Amino acid sequence: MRTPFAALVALQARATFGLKPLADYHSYKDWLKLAGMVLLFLVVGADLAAIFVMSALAQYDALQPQGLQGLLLLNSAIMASMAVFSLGFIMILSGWSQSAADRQLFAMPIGNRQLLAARFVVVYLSEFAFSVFLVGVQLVVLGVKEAPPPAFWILGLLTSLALPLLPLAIAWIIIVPIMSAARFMRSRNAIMLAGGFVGVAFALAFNLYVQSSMTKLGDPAWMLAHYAGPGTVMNLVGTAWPPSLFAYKALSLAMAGDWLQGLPWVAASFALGLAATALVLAFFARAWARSVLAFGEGSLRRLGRGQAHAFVSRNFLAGGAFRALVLRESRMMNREPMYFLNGPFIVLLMPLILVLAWFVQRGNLASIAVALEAVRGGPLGFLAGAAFGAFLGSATSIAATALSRDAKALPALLALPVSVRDFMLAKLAHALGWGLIGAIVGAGGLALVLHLGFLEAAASVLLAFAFSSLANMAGLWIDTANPRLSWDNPVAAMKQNPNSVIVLLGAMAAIGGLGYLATILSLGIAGFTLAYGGGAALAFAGLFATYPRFAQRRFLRLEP
Amino acid sequence: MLRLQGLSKTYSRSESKAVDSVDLEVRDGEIFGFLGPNGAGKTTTMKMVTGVLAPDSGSVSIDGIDLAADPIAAKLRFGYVPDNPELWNKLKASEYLDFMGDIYRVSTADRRARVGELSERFAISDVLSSSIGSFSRGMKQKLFVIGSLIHDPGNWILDEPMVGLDPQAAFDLKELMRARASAGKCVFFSTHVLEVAQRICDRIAVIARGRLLFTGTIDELRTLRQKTDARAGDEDLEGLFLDLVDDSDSAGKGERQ
Repeated sequence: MRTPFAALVALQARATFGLKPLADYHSYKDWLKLAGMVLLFLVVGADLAAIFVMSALAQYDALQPQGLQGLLLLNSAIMASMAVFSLGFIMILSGWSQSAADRQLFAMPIGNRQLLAARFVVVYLSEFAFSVFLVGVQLVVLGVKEAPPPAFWILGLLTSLALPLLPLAIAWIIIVPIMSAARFMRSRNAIMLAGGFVGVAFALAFNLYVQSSMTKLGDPAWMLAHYAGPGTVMNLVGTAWPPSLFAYKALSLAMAGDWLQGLPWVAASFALGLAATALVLAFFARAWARSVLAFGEGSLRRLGRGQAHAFVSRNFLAGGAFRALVLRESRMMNREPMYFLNGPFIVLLMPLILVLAWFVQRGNLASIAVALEAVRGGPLGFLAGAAFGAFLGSATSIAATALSRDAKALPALLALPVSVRDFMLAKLAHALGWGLIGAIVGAGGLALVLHLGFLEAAASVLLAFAFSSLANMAGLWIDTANPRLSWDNPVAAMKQNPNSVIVLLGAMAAIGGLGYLATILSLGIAGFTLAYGGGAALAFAGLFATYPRFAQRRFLRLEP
Repeated sequence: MLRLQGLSKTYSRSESKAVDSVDLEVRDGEIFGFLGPNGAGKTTTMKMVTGVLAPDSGSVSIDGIDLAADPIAAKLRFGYVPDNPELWNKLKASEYLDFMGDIYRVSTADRRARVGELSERFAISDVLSSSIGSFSRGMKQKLFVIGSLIHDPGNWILDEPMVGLDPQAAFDLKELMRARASAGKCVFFSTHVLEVAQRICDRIAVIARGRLLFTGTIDELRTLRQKTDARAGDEDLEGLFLDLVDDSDSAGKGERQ
């Protein structure tokens, strides 16, 4: 028999990560899906790891001639702490908007501290994975280059285990008082705004950190001046964020073969993190419980009698059924934080990150300007804009999760007098709307940067829109064929929906492939617009024409 | 008028029939209660009547229009109150009602008049500008009742409509059901609350293990039960219902043996 706390952690983990026990995998299809998901996870993980490994290798090559390669360890601890704090902050915050189902737990004979501890463990498990990943990449680079003793790896794992504790405890210490005191924060919309703000801030800060450190690594004189002596940047960082210094000391001692000397630093890291965690559980559990129970408290806006009459006269206006379906789809998706932040928001977030990268790299603008001159006048700039716009327009996951998101509402929706065709095409219209915004922001934005002419820019946007429309149409097909209809948490319908990952990666692969093909073909702007844009439009038309019949047949087999 | 003929359904992941050869007619001008224990096939039947689930065999017609042959025309002829009001929390109440008005092709003047009248009746006219997510369950239920009547349908289908309603709203809903039946319209609802069924239904049907056990008035049920058990004469609907379902369970076990 499990203890109540273990049962609680298992329940929370299952609900949060959409896990199910292996005993529930019955058919070969279940196992095939699991294998596919594991494979996808490995591919995406390896892809990200490759990016970080390349960055770490570049840093190693820049630091090693000065004998400062150990700074990679400091860097990894700082990056892991930043990532854990920011991502953990968002996850902790979103816990309030998912708390409706958790409220019944408060009626059970479980203390507030145990409930909070279970939540803490679930967030920790998620963030520990990030910590291991980010620290691990740097350890592997150093491990391969420096061949440290085995104890280095053990201390590395222990450091990764300890690192998330303090940032997460700090995040709780910041969030609980805010959620307790600020009534305006007790709504999903407020959570969406705050989570989005932290997400953007994190993405920007992370980019700023990576971009600026990469720029400085290219300057050996700066490196020696700031890192070689006492009172250096490293000591300042260590004072400001002790866990990073503890990690650096522990791992650099282990790398030098003196792991016994490194062990107390790991212990210090654990002690600090566990003390902060204990502080949270001891002093914040009650306030946390109260704020969770108060979340979503009714804040009805009541109209006066005369106002109500006027409101009805003013606000009810007949319109078409299709328009109503599009409006419903748009409102239901874009007002749900989990859906919006993991979907259409990418159209705004990605350009913002690029603008920041551009801003930080302005010192290198001279070389960038030379590169820009080279692409101006040829089709390369036009194609680069189209590729970026196509990516943004394809990455919103609107169409690829269209049916899955409505799983709970299907019994009510299918009783309405609307055709399957209209119901699903309204969702496509929503996806195409954001696809167009993505194409304009991506291709149009790059056209501005590259000073493309109007016709060139318009063709670039058109090409991006044609491609993203095809990707969205394909996404609609995939989610109609294999929707995720059984879930307890909207995360499962959106973020953990393999259909959106398939479309995202498929679009990236297709854009990459077409980009490569463009280097072989010499078609010119009109030629590429006709060949690529026309091809995408034709494929879209084929899928669009056959979709209604397919959807009709598929819906007949649904059992909502 | 609703007519169900030979309606059967077996779910793809199940071997037994959830609904087995159900024949039913719900006439205009009557309130018809659909009763059954949990897992009896009530919800599956309601889903097939509303076009949410396709039957394996049999047909559903609404005012003589075959639901499978012309689903849009058939669906326009009924209003439906689903059993789960937690689905539209991201919309404002006015947005939901306007959506229903558009879907059921209701003119601006008619929808304003009906929303005004019904929201006053159910005492939610002052919160129409608020988000549905901020409503209590009872308020949501009232809103969906209004949405289902925005096109003044000839047939009204309600799935467990009394859940979450306060006594006043439950009374108002029963009054409204009676008023619509008196106006020659058909009211078909499922419920677990036998007291409500006893008080307002003109006829009832009892389903268990996917099969219809009885269709008729409560008096007819009492007469039927008296033939097998003399003590049944004094029983209320609850007693009659439990006896009927109990007999069906015993018969089912007998069949399995």
